[in-house]
Amino acid sequence: MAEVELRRISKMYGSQKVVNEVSTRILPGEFFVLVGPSGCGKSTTLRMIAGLEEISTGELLIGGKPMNQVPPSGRNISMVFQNYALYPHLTVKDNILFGLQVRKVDKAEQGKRLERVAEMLGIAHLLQRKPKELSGGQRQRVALGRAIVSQHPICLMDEPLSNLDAKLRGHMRTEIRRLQQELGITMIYVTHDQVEAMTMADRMMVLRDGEVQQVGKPLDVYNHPANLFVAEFTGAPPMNTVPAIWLADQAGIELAGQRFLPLPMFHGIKDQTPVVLGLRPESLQPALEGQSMDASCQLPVTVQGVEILGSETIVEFTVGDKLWKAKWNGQWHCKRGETMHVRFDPAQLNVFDGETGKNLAVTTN
Amino acid sequence: MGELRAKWKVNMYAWLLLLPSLIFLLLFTFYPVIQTFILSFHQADLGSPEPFFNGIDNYKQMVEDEVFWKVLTNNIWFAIGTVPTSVALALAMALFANKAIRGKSFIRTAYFYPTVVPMIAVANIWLFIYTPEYGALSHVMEWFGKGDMNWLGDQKNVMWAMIFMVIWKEAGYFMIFYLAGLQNISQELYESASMEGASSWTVFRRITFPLLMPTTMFVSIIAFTNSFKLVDHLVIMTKGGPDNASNLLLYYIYETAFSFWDQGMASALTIVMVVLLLLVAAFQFFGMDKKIHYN
Ligand SMILES: Nc1ncnc2c1ncn2[C@@H]1O[C@H](COP(=O)(O)OP(=O)(O)OP(=O)(O)O)[C@@H](O)[C@H]1O
Ligand SMILES: [Mg+2]
Repeated sequence: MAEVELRRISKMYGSQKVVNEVSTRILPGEFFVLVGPSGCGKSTTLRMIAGLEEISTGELLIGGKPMNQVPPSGRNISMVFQNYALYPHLTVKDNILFGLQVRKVDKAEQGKRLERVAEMLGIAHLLQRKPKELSGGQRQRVALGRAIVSQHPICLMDEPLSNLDAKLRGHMRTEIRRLQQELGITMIYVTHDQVEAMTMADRMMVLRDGEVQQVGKPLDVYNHPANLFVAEFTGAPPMNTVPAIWLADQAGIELAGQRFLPLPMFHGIKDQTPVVLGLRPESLQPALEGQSMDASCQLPVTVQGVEILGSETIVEFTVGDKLWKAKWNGQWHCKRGETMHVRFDPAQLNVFDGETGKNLAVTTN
Repeated sequence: MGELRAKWKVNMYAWLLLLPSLIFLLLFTFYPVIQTFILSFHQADLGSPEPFFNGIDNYKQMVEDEVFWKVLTNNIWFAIGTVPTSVALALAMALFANKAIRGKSFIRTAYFYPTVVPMIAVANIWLFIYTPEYGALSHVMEWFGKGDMNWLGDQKNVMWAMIFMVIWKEAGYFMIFYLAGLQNISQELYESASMEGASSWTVFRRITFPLLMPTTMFVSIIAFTNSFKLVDHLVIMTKGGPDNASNLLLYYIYETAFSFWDQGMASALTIVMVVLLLLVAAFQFFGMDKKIHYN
């Protein structure tokens, strides 16, 4: 069984704690993404799972067996490194077969596996080349091939696409996902790019400063971020936020001393609590003339800037003292300084605690 | 027409930029080599007030000269004794110094120390070590109950003594090149190998050593040339003796030129040495280059 379980795993460098009590359970065959900003401890966590970094405290189990003291080669894991770690003096073929040769796998078996992997990745014509004679994408494939050929049930990847250009990155995203599903491997994938996390993951874990912020399916994380940090980390452009005051008696909000929105679906928030309002850019839509809408969910705004991207338009305006962005389908020719009304569905509103940043409607899972 | 002129202008510019170094190269390298080459076909010793052309007489004499053959054999043995050992030792020390976690810089300095000590001082230190009866080595030998040995005064021992000293001196110097080479190997490669469970011997044989080949090549050429260039230690410690047992080619050239004052013969010997070094360098360079991976 290729289940990976982390039990309150921490990493200390001297007195500095860079990974703090991370616990999670990664299911067999799952595509699990570790995501977070630079320096949040993603690589460190992954390397502890691989065995390249010692686990300071906590327990790691793979297939139910404790792994803390097991060397990397005993963990049934293959790994794709950020810079591919191809041996520059060996041909593609020898690079792919290196691990099998080390483990003294039968020659005929080696040949069979090589052939299958080369075909699967479309690198059969490159086998005699050296890494420096390959393009970035081809190197990436060779690195993938080396991980696959070992037939380990678990594969770790640390930002494997960060050296590729945008178009190739999109292509490799789908390819890695396809391979993972075809082979049924458990994948633990590190990235700082939330788009990669959203598009590839079965489940994702958002990290910040070594602490788990949220674990869940990409859409759950997107729709119900556990806190302000996750809200602002996911989505492009990220979630719009603005500080406000909660008025319990009217079940509504005072926004910068002027706006007032009855929000009956949030319960149990104390009167006068400072909160932060969060709304996704695509939840803000233009309120057209003659459309009868609940006036409470409309905001009169002054357009500050417009970006027309072809298929969609991003409109900027200020709410309170924050710059908000709204994302609308199609091409909208708004003018700077123009006043208009935007509306939103109150169900899509997120309310966060003004001090802790916790989402007041969602409980973390 | 205009194109030709533009091209000429660019070329001119390039030559002008090269000129300063070319002048020095011509003046201090090519000119002396050519002069030496010409002089090697002349008789120019104390018996001839003006050098005069004597064809290949110098070379004929050289071939008949027993000392020349002795010195050449000495030098070949000296090269065989010093080059592989000092290169291998340098590699081993670099691997160790690179791995040591505690006292890393201390170990590096300690290894490199023999290289920064001036030659004359080195020679004196070893002169003391090798001194019979009250030298350091003799004392150690006495503790082990071995008899006293005259290291530098005995024809059988003197070459070993010199070889040992040169290895001691050169290994630290070559280690620096290997250390630099090791730094250039990405840590990811080793991590990747450890994921596969490769033993440290496999890692060395299949990754580290092949990737250090350019360094090994470079260092061996230097080591080989150095083994033909040794002169200062001989001046201080043995003067090539006893009975030419520790005499090497360059020291013999020096003696011929400045003790026997036979400039013609010294020139002929020099040409032989230059050709020999070029041949070996060419062999190493062209013969082995294809097998080496360069980044
Ligand atoms: N060997 C080390 N000694 C001390 N601190 C370290 C060491 N390695 C990493 N760190 C620290 O641990 C923290 C987490 O590092 P890590 O490499 O896991 O970040 P990351 O999330 O992978 O970031 P990135 O996206 O930039 O790769 C960083 O603050 C880093 O400075
Ligand atoms: Mg990282």
